[in-house]
Amino acid sequence: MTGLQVSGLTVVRGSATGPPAIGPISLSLEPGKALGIVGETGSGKTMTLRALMGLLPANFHFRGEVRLGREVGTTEDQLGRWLGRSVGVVLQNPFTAFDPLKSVGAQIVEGALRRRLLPRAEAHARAIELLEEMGFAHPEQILRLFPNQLSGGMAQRIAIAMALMPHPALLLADEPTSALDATLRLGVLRLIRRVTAATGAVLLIISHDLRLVSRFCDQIMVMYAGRAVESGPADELLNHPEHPYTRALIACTPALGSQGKRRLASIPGSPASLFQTEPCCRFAPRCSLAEEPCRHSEPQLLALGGAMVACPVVSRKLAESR
Amino acid sequence: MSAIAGNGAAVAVELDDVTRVYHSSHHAVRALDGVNFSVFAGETLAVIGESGSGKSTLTRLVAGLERPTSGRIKVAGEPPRLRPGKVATAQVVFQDPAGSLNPHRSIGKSVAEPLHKSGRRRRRAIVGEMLERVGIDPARWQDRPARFSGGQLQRVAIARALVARSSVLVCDEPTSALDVSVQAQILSLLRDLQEEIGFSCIFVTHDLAVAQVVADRVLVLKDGRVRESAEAAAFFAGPRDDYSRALLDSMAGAPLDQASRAP
Repeated sequence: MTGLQVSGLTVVRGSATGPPAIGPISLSLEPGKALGIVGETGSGKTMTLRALMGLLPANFHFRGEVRLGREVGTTEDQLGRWLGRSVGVVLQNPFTAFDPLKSVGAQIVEGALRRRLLPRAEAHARAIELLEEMGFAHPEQILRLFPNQLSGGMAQRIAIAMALMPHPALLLADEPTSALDATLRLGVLRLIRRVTAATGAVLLIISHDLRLVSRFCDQIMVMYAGRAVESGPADELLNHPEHPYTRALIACTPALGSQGKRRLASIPGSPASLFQTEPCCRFAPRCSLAEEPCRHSEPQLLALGGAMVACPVVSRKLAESR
Repeated sequence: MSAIAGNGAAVAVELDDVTRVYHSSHHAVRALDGVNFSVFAGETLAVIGESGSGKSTLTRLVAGLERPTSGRIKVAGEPPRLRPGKVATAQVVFQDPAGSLNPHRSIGKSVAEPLHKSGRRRRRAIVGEMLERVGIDPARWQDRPARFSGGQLQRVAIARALVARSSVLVCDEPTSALDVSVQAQILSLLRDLQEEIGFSCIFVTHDLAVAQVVADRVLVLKDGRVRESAEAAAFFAGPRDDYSRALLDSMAGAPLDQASRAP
């Protein structure tokens, strides 16, 4: 089995007892497939990605097992060693990926040269090829530019090319287009999707926009307060959401359509914390379906139709109606 | 004094052939170039544009933070001008709520700023009422901005903008830094307040889906020029301008993008 398998990924703060801050999260993706991790601020989506990079903040600990191709990682150090080799990373603000004093050409090959992955001439040729794939008509000219001469859209496309230099088997992208103009977003996302699909890299992409990522990801996982509450095929999730949080999230996201000026649905209350001492469904305080057991036990992900849903109430209601 | 339009509604904001040029050492940039439009009393005009379209310049001109190079602007019948000791006729809610509130000052003091002429007791009463109205516990008026979330701070910024009873509110991407569920709360709040108070709103955004939720009418800006000005329903049903159509297509597209999925 190749591709990416994550089993029982959890993140714990310090020596805290009680439920973990994040997880357990398990997922499995074949080469060339894309998963969108969707959640709001504080849902733990970035922390999950940082765990996979082996770059958790101090005092946070990773547990679980990650298999990427033939490699196996069970500690943060092991995962950290994959960075820049089998794992590429694209972050929200493209300019943080660049040294302002070096030309694009020098930076784009730097990682591959330093890790002795490619000889210089070959690295240069690969950089040109990747920039062409990223839609630059004259890559040679781009290599001579400095970061301050780039627009946001250009910088992000170059940052993607840079992450793809070592032929990574996994590309991690954290809100790669939220710093870009709305008109550029879809184009850049399509590019990322096309190159990872073509090279067989697994793509994990974080976003707060479920509608946007569901347009080009195969699978979606919705997170709330450190838990995966629902995961499944993208169209299934967008068109037939089952978890009360997924439903509410979709209802409050504006979408272009036939409806004009209107009131959007909103979710009452405010988001739950990652750090809780007692097991419970973390969405229960804001949920219209919540029952007494929801406040005392952690819901498990259960198969429901084509998706996995962590809501016993929804599962039971569906079973009853059949 | 406000002018009366042909359809009987009062005009709250009027721009007549407004141009704003910025000069640098090498060249001049026409950030706005011959812009004409009106906003009627009580309605919301969505101003749509990408980076560099001139939408922020427009915000600054209507708020009176800058003057046009040529052309005329009227807000509630008068040119917007900031005078010491006076409250601007058009109030602005900015994109970054943390950056628009003084971090060293309690939120109560920030909200009370436009009320400096009222007595202390009256000021407190109005501020408390307004905080409550936007969904912030009035008991927290002494807290500083650092103790609030982004969505809560945007509520505080809205309270400050409305406390002066201005008839025009300019919202410059007020929700683009917020989570979607918080965005929905803020948009609903603005809508409730507008129904209750009846202010006119210029809502600047690059997000067409948000524009569709809030707008009565739409204005599309590109490179400082108006590309299209239309009723919202007509615009979203089928824009007349090529650029508007491209903008709409780039965001709408097919519901599921099979072409860009797996090989």
